[in-house]
Amino acid sequence: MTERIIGIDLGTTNSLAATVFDQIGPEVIAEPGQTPIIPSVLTMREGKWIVGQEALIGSLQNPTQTLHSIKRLMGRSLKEIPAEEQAQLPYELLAGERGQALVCLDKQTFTPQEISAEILKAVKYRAEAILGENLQKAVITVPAYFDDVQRQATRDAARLAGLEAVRIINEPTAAAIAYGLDERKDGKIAVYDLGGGTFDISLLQLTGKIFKVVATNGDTRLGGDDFDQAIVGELTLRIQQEFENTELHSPLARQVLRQTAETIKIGLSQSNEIEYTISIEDQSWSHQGSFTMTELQPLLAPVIQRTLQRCQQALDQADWKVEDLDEVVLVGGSTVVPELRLQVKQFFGQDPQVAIDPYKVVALGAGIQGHLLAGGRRDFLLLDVIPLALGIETVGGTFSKLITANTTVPTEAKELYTTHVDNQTAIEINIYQGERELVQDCRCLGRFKLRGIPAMKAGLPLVEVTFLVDANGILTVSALEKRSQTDASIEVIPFHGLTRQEIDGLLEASYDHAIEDFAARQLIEFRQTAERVLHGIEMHWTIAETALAQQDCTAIRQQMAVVRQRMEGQDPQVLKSEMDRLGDLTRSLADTVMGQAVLSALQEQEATSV
Amino acid sequence: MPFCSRCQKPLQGALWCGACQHLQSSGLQADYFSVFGLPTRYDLDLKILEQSYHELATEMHPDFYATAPADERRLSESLSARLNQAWQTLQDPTARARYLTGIWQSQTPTHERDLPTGFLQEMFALQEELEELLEAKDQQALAAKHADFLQRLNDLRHNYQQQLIELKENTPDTTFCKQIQQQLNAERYLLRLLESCSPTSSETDP
Repeated sequence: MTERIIGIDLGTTNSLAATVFDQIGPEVIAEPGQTPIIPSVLTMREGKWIVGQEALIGSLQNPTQTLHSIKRLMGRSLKEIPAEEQAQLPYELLAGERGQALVCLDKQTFTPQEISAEILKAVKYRAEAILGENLQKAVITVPAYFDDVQRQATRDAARLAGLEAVRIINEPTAAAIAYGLDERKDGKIAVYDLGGGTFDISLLQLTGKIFKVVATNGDTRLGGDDFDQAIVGELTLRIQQEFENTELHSPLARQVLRQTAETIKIGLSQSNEIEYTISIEDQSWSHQGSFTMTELQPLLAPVIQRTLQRCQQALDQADWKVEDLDEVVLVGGSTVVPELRLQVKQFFGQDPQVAIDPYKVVALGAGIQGHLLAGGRRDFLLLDVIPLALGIETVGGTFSKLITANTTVPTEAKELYTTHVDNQTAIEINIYQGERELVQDCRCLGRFKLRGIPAMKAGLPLVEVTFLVDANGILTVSALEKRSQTDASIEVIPFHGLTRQEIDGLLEASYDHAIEDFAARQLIEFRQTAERVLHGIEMHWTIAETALAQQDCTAIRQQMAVVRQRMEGQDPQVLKSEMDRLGDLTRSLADTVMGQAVLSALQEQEATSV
Repeated sequence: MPFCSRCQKPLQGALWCGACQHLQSSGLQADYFSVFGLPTRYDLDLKILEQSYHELATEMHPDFYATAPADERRLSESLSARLNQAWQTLQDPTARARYLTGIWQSQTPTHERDLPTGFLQEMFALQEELEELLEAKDQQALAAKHADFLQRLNDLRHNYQQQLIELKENTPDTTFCKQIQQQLNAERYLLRLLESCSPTSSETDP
């Protein structure tokens, strides 16, 4: 097998990685006994990004400076984000040069791609530390209903994180791989995937080696966050009934309410009633209450109904009936809600599958796909579809579909164009994606300028434009003038995403400012660990002197000096081998004599160097 | 029969050589029938077609060329696109018929928009009836109309499919091409009418 390709689930609320380990098989990447999950939450401290749990913990102290749900902004313009959705985000948004949504933080602006790149870096660095390998390639998952722009944005985020997204795969499809390979049964599967911010339903047909997606449907603005918002609405009502004219719109209040709602939602997954208390630091009131399952149900019902409508649409598109399904699989953190499971069971008329942890299953499937791409196996093949039709504008602003939704990718369409005036050498085409009849109701992916058409009389040139959608669901366009057999050059102006130049600019900046090099990062990590270990030994030195033989003490002292010297050096591997030697010398000491501090410091060292 | 550009052995399908596992760049121009090594005729066995689609897909898909040189990877992508298009077209009876008339078009041009004699008048009358029913929201009569259209559609399909099957691999004359083309155009018309009186025709996308 060649270079490892890990799988990354880049989620709205949580992110994690998985890979296929020799002997063990597919598994999430985590420190022993620790969670594999990195919350997709960020903040900035002294000009440095803090990602994950640490940022999440600090979010109450600093709500306007804490970024979450960034995935909802990927590849979207500010105009496209409804005011109510903007109001739910405690941080500030701005419109970029072409209208794309930007995030304000610490008096700077960032694209969602840059911020997602920071999450990807956190996932990558941790995976590198655990695997002890330099990682450069990944399979990254996206909601099946992501359009071309959102997929491109995800791929660009990976590039900014120093990762090549070898493949972008759909989250429900990834889940189907993890399940399907587990069981290896031919049949029809529905994957119901409700994450923090997005909903997908995918219908797959499994035949031997082939996993074929037959239809996919969804909503990129529907998720567990909407459950929380519904509960927030109810809490707001209750508080305002008790304390009139309470101001609940400050970022801090919103953050407190959001977290309480989440606690209630999670609490009611395990019991029928939950007590809560809400108080906000700068306000004098305190509200106490309880929430029951019966009170929760009507709040969740509208959101669940919307997902089930999408399921019906997908079934119609596939021309399948509910009874045709052999299996229904639940994916995504939001599917742990009992009320949801009940409704889904009623709709599909069967108990949904939850054998694999819904938090991990997507990453696992991506890890397996990465293994296949790296040449590790070729016993299955994923055939996915394009979720939304692709086309161009024709007379009167109508949307002319060139590739229809649910067409198996890769796929292509060809269209002939000609010129309207003599000696015209360029043609402009606007490309749209969507399911509606008029281009104004679809998303414009960008403007494609064909240049270099040989000068001829109007109507003579025959420019054949090929629209190729690759296996990732991403479009590339090429053009050929058929009379002269010359390739027309194409310039793409994205409407929501980043241009090539912008990506290159960001990449250069990130090389300038961040330490990208694996060895350099490893060196920093090893130095920190060495510092802790040395400090631990010093703290307990008096115990060591009484418990150990003189010569052992001298050996440890000498080795400590060697480690100190290597810490000044530039080679992480040399430092590591000297630390290992120190570890050997102090092992019996740590086990038998020394206190917990040294032991835990040593354990930490081992965990990071596995 | 075409030959492999590398090992010179005869090819089963135009895209890929089973003997030496080589992608055929000439396959980019191949017609959909030769993609599967099939004769150019309407009648085909869907089971065998699907099997051969799956076999080719598992050999040529870009996922199995992820570590290959860039131009080979791109070729596998374009050829897989061709394969998927070919499968999607041939497995669908109507799309297959349209594709066949497309091939004939290049040799014997017919009038693309031609309809069977009297068909348009009949359709106009039907459309008017339908609009009245839609306005009156007469669900029962609408359902009956729907059933009627469906019957017409099935008869039409059965008719031209039978003609195409009987043609076998022969080259059709202009009259035959015209007949088929007219029926395919009529089918489009009927499909549109059916859609407008279908019980689930309401716009579902927000």
